[in-house]
Amino acid sequence: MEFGQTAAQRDRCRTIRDAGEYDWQRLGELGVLGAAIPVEHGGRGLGALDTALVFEAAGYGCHDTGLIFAAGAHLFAVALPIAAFGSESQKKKLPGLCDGTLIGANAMTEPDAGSDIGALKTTAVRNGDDDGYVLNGMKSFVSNGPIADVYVTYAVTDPTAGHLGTTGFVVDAGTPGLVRGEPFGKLGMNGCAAGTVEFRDCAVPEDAVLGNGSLVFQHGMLWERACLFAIYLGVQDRLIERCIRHVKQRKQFGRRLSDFQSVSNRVVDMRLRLESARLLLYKACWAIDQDDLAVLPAALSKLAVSQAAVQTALDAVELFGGRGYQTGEGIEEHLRDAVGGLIFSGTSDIQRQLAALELGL
Amino acid sequence: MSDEYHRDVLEKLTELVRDEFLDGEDEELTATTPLMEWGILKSIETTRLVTYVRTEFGVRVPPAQVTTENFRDLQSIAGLVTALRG
Amino acid sequence: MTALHRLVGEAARRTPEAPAIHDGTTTITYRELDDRAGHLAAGLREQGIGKGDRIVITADKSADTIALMQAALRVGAIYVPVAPANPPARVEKIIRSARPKLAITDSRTAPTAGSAPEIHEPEPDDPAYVLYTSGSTGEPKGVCVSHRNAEAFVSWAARETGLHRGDRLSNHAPFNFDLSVFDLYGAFHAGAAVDLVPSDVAYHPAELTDFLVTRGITVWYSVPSALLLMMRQGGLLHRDNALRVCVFAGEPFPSDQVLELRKAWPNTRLFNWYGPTETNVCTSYEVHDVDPSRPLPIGSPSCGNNVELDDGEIVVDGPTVMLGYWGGPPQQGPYRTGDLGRRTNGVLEYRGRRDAMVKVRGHRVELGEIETALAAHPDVGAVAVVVRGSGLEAKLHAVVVPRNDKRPGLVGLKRHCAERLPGYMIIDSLSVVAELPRTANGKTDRTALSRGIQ
Repeated sequence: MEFGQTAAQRDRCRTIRDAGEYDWQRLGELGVLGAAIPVEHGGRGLGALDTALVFEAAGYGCHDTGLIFAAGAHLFAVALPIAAFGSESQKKKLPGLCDGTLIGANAMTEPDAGSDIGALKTTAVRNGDDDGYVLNGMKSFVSNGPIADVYVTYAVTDPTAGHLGTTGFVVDAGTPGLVRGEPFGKLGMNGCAAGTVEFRDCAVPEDAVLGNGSLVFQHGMLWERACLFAIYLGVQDRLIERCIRHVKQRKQFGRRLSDFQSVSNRVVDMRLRLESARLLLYKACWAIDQDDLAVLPAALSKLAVSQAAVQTALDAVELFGGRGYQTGEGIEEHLRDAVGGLIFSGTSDIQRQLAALELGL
Repeated sequence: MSDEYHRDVLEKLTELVRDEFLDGEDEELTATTPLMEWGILKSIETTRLVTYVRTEFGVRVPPAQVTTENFRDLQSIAGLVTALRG
Repeated sequence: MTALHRLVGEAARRTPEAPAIHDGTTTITYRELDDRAGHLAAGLREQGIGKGDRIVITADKSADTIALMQAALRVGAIYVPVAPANPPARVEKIIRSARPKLAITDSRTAPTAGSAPEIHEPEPDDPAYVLYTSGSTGEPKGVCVSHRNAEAFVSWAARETGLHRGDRLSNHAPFNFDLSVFDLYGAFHAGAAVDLVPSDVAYHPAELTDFLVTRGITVWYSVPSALLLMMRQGGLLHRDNALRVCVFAGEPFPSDQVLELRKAWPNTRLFNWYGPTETNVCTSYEVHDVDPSRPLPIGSPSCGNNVELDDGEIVVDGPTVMLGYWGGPPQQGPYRTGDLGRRTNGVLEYRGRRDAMVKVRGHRVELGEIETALAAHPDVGAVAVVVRGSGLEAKLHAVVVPRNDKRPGLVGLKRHCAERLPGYMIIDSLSVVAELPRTANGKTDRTALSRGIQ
């Protein structure tokens, strides 16, 4: 992991991984919330690879994976799209989003549309009387939804134009007609509150328009698939270290667990899987930074990292045995947190479909 | 010769759309058939077309150029490819 | 009204020499039918058949078969008609379910005896006959119809269509299909004649058209498929006929083709009837003006029924709702049809099967709506839309029969969809065929279609 890092990168990562206490404000102070946002808007101005390193460090240092995930959703699907496509007035929200005074939420997923922007049912119709639009529709899974100050959402504006007929909007919490639900229960990532957001005749001004929905969404998704999943690299680093400590201490049949080849081989395989996934992730981020073709590397990286996270967490449960299965030991929660990774930012099936299309299949 | 290039691109794109997206049928498919509006280009087909343009003509279509205007019909896509080739 | 089992006897008393049944070159008068039914009833009695016993009849359509059905009712038995075209395995399943005392494959060999027995007087809620329909599980389900159910329908239908002694009704449907209930009992109710369409020409356009024209049919009732076949390939609209009333039911009739019928036959009363076997006809629409851009309405409640929409589903309560499925619990309260409806300008429109709602590209899609839209295309004669693949791969596939010589193309049909339907309902692919597969009752066989293209 140290390979090729600059002193600046190393220092930045160390500060974040050794911060000790983490909460939303602290993530702002540490530069996590605004890592990829230009300096003039209150961010750190980092590229995709540097941003990934930041999230990797945060995933390692902070034991509340859900909190870091919430920060990732906030940065990649709200702050970053506003920085890339937003109007001057929309960009005025960026300093607050970077320093942690504001929380962002991405309201895209609908009951019948996850990653397929062409299947959206939420509509935005031109407001008859004055400028602006009226939004109507139900967003079923919104990370940070119950607590956010700023929402980026997507709605159909031109029903005849299929997936290109959608528009991205920036909507403030408190806008009449924006109704958010209570947080719902979920398998893992409990540090990140998620709920529904419904638009009921929600009138927004012309300046709420962020840009073509497909373009905005894909841009955020690309970064999310590459950088946000770096969280899972840091988490796995931490977990594998813990596994190594455990198997060196624990004895069975009078021998240390690590003396059993079946155990040490398993740990080596965990590390192999992690390092391979890490290289894919760095490559995807590098492609984004080079403005090279990034869809295929990002899809492959997301697949590799999310699958490695689940397998590593499963391996850890097995290495810890009964303790690994018990709640309170902090092992099983890695597994629960990892499962979400197979779903967020496009399911594994979607990643494979993207990859297949990029391969000209 | 830009005109010739444009014609070649148009011909190849027509072939792609006809063979890959329309089961080989070409009745009514013209350079001005509204591809988006008639559901011939959906998201997967659009991605396939962009990939095809990249591999066949060596032209990268930036995401920001994937718009309803540029992808309205074969003529406008061919125009975009020709313009992007520079 | 006269009870179901007494209709023939009453007509025989009023007009003994009037024709009751035309069966090819044979004509049976009411007196002959009444006598034949009496002898058969005596034979059944001798076999020990009485109240509540089932008689499965797999015989061909004929005057004898009809007489046997009458005989069954006269001894209080329940008849179970099964089209002989059914595969043996299905017949076996039906027999296992109905547990009949007698199964008759040839009505000419049915037992007879000398003197007619006293006619059994049923209670209104006693079952009269059981019609087996295909259940979604593949297990046939026996729809159990009471005397009250049948009478409510027959008297309403006879009044609605103004049936009278001089009418000649066609009988196109097989006897196990509830369309035949109108043909037979409507005729007997009015003392009119019913003319049996031989089952082997039921889908031969030229022969069918000849039948309708040359035999002077005044009241026709069939599935739209049969009429469309006659219109497209039998030259129906170019021949003079004696039709006074034409009724269709059983599946949607594309409204632009109804318009064609309306224009060709300005003086014929046209009816679109709706209702699953479980409720018989529960709504009716008399066609006056046709809006080809909308589906043909199924109209308003018939037979004294109450028809409601519950979350879009058509729910029926009233005198024609079946007793229940044979061997199952009695039907309690309103019957949920599983069909989707919509009220437009006060009349009901049929939107398709609830279970034909499929999910494509994240949207709930009603295949019937796409079919209705495509059927309005000038080059489309008949159409069925099915889903190919599943999940991310689910695609809408149209199977189309050309209306005339011009082969409809995919781009043209996509355009047609795009002009009428939301984008996610535009078809993805197309196959053009000479004919759609049909079920034994003449409806489009969707199962066969899906199997064929997977």
